[in-house]
Amino acid sequence: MATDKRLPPQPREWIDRNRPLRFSFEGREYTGFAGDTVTSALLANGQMLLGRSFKYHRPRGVLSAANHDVNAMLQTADATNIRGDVTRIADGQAYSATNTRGGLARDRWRFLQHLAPLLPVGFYYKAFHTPKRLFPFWEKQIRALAGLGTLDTRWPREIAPKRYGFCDVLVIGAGPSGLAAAIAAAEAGAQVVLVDENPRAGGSLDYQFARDTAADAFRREALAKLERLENLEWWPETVAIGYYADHWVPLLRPAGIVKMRARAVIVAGGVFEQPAVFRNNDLPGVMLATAAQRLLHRYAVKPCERAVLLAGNEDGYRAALDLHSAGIAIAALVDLESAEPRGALAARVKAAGITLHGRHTVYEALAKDQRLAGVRICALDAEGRPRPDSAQTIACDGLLMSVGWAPAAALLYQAGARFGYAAPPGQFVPLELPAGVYAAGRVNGVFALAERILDGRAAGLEAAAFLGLAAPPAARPARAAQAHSHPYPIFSHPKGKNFVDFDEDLQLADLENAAREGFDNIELLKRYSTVGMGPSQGKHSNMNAIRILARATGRSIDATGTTTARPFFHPVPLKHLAGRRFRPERRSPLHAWHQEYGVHFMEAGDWLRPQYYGWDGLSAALRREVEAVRQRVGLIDVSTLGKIEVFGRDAAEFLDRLYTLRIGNLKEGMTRYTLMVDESGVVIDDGIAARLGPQRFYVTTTSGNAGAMLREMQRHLAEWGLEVDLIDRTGRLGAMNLAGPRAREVLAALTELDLAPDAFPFLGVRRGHVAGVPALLMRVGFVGELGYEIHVPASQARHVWEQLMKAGSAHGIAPFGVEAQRVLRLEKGHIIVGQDTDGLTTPFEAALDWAVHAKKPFFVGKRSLQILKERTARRLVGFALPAHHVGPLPKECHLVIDGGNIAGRVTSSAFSPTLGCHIGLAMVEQHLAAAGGSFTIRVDGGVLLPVSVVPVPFYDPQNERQQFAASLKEVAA
Amino acid sequence: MNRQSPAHHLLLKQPLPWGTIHGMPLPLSAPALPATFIVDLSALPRRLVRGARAAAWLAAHGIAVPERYFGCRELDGGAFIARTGAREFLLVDGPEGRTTAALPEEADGVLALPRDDQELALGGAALRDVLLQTCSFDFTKAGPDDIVYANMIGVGCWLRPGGGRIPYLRIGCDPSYGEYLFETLLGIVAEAGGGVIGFKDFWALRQSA
Repeated sequence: MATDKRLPPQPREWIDRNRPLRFSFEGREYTGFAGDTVTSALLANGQMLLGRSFKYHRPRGVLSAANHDVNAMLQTADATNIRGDVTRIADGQAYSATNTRGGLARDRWRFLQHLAPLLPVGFYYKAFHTPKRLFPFWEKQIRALAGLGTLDTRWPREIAPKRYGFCDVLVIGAGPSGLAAAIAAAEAGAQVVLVDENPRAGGSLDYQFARDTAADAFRREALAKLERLENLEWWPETVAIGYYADHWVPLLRPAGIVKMRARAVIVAGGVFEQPAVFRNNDLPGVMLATAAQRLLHRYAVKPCERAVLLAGNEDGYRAALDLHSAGIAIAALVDLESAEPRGALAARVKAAGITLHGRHTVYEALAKDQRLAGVRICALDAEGRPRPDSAQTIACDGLLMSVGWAPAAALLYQAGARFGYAAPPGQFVPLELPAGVYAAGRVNGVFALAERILDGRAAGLEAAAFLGLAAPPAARPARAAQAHSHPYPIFSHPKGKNFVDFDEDLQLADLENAAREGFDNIELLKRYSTVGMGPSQGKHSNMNAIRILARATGRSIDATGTTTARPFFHPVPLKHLAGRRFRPERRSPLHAWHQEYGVHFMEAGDWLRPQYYGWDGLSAALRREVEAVRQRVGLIDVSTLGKIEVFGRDAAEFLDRLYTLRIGNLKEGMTRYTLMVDESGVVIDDGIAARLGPQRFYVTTTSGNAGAMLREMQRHLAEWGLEVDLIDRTGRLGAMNLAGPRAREVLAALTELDLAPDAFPFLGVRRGHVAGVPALLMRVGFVGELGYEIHVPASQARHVWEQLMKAGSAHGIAPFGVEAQRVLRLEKGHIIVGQDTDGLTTPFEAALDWAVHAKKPFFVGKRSLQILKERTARRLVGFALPAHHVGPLPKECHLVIDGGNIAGRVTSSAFSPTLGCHIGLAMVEQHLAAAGGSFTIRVDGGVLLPVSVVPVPFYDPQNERQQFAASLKEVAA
Repeated sequence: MNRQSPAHHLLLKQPLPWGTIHGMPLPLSAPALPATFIVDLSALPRRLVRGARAAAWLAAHGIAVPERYFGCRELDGGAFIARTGAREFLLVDGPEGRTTAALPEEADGVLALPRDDQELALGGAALRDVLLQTCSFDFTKAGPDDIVYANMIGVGCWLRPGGGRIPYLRIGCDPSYGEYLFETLLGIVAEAGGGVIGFKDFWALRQSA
């Protein structure tokens, strides 16, 4: 491939000249080499215009040629927001720029840059907030104008599984200090993982020191060891995107995120070069000096033909010499400081024939055809301000900025490191690091190459010693004694367009005005102006913003501070965040049977439970299932109930302390209702306790609370120090409730147990067999009919269920779901904890006074209940509508209204097929709770519906079918 | 005994010959063994032994228990016993079920309750990669003498590494999570080019290792 921008082979180049690739950009065909990024391949073809800016649609070209800006943000047919600077070209791929209308070159929205004075920071907050009804319109327009790429929901779903990783030492950054650190730690015996966002190790060795022989010697040796050391893994193209407690670092890799658990972490992430701020500093052709060096050495691309170099440090001089030696004409080196102190470097620059302008700045970049055509430079006055009267123009097609650096310190901040501003070197440096976290190299303020290597080696040995490995002590080199960052490379211009944040199109005046408006804290400034909130996350803008705010407020850099660094340090594709879909779902052992029988499932916590059966809708199913239970026999899957074995010497004492009712006097072979309140007297659960032996009980909890109740029991057990063991059997036992007038006949066919009422009475518990399977049976009746709750091993539950269905077929058995169960229990007036109670409900409010045995010496919540009993202000009552009612119906959570005020809420409400009318429960103020009274419910549409208070249970009030409530009250007495 | 694995209907999709193990129908053997495998071991008899005298009670029944918490000891016939607490042990029987057969369920303040788990084993060439995708525990730090309680794809599991020539990991969980666990792990194993093997395949592999 022959273009005027591709240079002959360079010693460190990353491209494979034997593999030419074809691609297109904005509809035009180009050729590049394998290893080229989209940016480098386009520049090699002379294409300098790469994108349009976010807000003003200004032309943009290369700034960092790294992942530190998003000037080159691209789109393909099936992906968007592709970063051209770091994305390698793919053969045949068609790229286009994002955020343009009518193409990149002739973007219709480019006129917006001329409206910049009308669109300052916050203009849309101020301009469009009234009238409120129009804001959605404006929001739509703004989003259309200021967007990134375009999503297409038809794109195929891509899964990027997450993985876990483990190592002794994680080294972040494979530049000179990172390489030295990783090798030192590995040679000391640690298992080391070295990561870097680039595809090759070496960092700045490959572009800032590409022709340096000493650097090359270190590089060769380090890369050889990288190959050789078996306990050192090298992970290219891997970005450490956050730091979490205990050295847990998510690593973003092309295939997905690796959640790395390290025992020690060394951050050697280096520094981000920072742009200078002057008018038109965003023109294509204006770039960071390191961007030019990356293009030159990694991709053999000539960044420009004739360059001006704007320097604020000695690194700029070295860059000028580097580019000069590569054959790029350097029209001038403009130094923000006096050139004299630069000593030998200045002499070398002069000797190369480069004109030096000390104590000058670039005042303005000049454009022609949407790219750089020259610069206007000015001398600086004593206070560092440009003197326009001294302006002179230099023709050039490249302006390379080398004015300072910002540490890549986000991970260290997240780890809890304390930083302070140090001048020199003119950047924030770590003052204090958490145990097991180390900084090395330029992020640590160490700049000279040899010292960076020493600093990395020392960090590696320190990490090894921290892990208890034999590692010789190594002294850290001193931090740089000279400034590597200019204190204020920022220059005002009456016509503006001097950009601080290239992502967000923020200009110097935007930040100055924000500070003037009172957003004079760095966090406030960030939020109001959005500086650092774009896809680059402040990598090229935060440091300048801090300098601007510090100057605007007259505070020091340290006093101004930095914004909080939060994960993720770098934007992460959503597919990487999503990973695989792991959504644990609990299923009853009868799940497959329900499916085969045409069930509608509902989610109940982690479980899927049968809501109802059949294809003719909920109403029809409810009528059918309720009728079966009331008139014949029904079978419901209650495997989700919590099931806990409680045994040991103090088991009875433990349960007496746990529940409001007395359990210790329960006879073997009997069960009792249980109610549990917390220390404040609030109802938290209910269930059944069955006594299986003198020191053995089997208790159930509500389905949703099973886990929480077990933890609560374990907590109390630990506190009380009783001799009790708990075994959670919730998921390991299947359970089903056979209920209805013919339940006994159905069951009798399958068990050897004597089911006669006196042999197996109401509230009895028996152990025996059902369909040949060992089973625990309890004669309880939540739905208000003769019922047997049958608990069997989960693996045999389906067999038992099928046998019960088979035996019940002659009796008209039907399976019933949760919806029917809710209606049946409502007819019987039984509450559901969590539905008929809330986070404040006491047993007295829930009409469960009889379930509180205040004579017990102690139970959890007793003291609170003693106090609350006299203060009960609400009461759960039953209500019913006339059978002929027509109109809106009360629904759960509808409000009870009294005198225009809220006086309660409906907790349960349903049509009762048995009673032929609508019934419900409501928690109302005491004065509305009197039997025979009435209250008003505000139903849908705001209609106030009067209802009558009726006694519960609604169904079988004399307990003739089961005598459940009467029995419970008897044992509570 | 009419038992059924939580993964029963998922296993039905596997074209493998079936048999019955301890009353539970399971695939027995695969015609060709994949490099990475998953196998359902739910049929094995298990007991959770708990109580103040659990260790002594087990010893009286000829079962030597591990001293160390979360220690594991191999027993005759492919069984193992793991110490899961100060007074709690998990006893997992071998394919013949000889160890649990004679144990009572309750005696002397000790409960030795039969326990249904969804138990499976993952193994083979891609085991490490499958584990790195599914569990945050570093399995290089554990061996056959350990039982690990950890979260795997969101489910609390017991995990026991094993194997020689062919590495494997035995995994047990509450059977209500069994279908989710098996289906999800099978999907990942299949992506790695693996598949389901039969109950007998596993014990043959184990013996050859």
